[in-house]
Amino acid sequence: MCPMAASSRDLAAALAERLNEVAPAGVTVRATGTEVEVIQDGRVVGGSSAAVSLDMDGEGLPEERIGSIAAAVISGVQDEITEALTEPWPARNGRMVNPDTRQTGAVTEMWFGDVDNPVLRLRPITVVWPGEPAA
Amino acid sequence: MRHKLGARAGTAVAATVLVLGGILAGTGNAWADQDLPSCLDHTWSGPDGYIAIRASPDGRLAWTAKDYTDNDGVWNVYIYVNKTLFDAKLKYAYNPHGSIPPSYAKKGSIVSFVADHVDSKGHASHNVPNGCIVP
Repeated sequence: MCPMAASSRDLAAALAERLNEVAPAGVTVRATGTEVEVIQDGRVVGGSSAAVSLDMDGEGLPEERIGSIAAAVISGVQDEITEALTEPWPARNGRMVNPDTRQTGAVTEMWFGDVDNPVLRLRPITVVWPGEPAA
Repeated sequence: MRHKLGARAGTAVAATVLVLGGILAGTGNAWADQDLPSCLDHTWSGPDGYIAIRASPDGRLAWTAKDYTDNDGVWNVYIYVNKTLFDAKLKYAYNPHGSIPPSYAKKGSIVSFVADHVDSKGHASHNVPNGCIVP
């Protein structure tokens, strides 16, 4: 697990990279600045701007928000991919499964479906905050 | 986007009410939380458009924002859960939509939106107070 610095751009990049690793054929996921974008046929079809909230004041401690931001991003990407494919993604028995995240210290886990039996699991993200040594 | 809206207002192009939204996101507070509707299936309608939210049986909340006449231009939507920013759709060239996973919209949570839209003709719209309670 390669730790990333705690910035909204780095977070967007890390999330896009992990989502792109599992994206279905015909769809790619990329980061542009703090945006995580879903691309189909060379066109941005949607995504999430949630990573920008890491830089916003008054939203609680940034280090406590990575899990929530990750959930918003993977949920948004799931919506867009499902719409692009015109079928649920990822799915179990033909039904779309919900995204979820769990943040434990510096590590954020992300998956779709039940935590004990997920349909899809993303590579976790490890965030290094300023002043902390890299893991 | 916000600068454009401000500049436009300054040149006497009136911003009109698009939809409800915002009081729970800190842009004014006219309603008490107990007055809020359920997020089960609710639409906040305005003269120019609406925001709608609906809960699926598994607890996921799906929302959309729409202008009645022109969905092109630039959209910004901020989605709050319990007055904390959860997701954002910024600088979208079409009307955005999204969802909130059940683990981040637990029963009794309050969901609200702040939205603005400048359509393809430069007509600016924004939200008015809104919010709903997760069933």
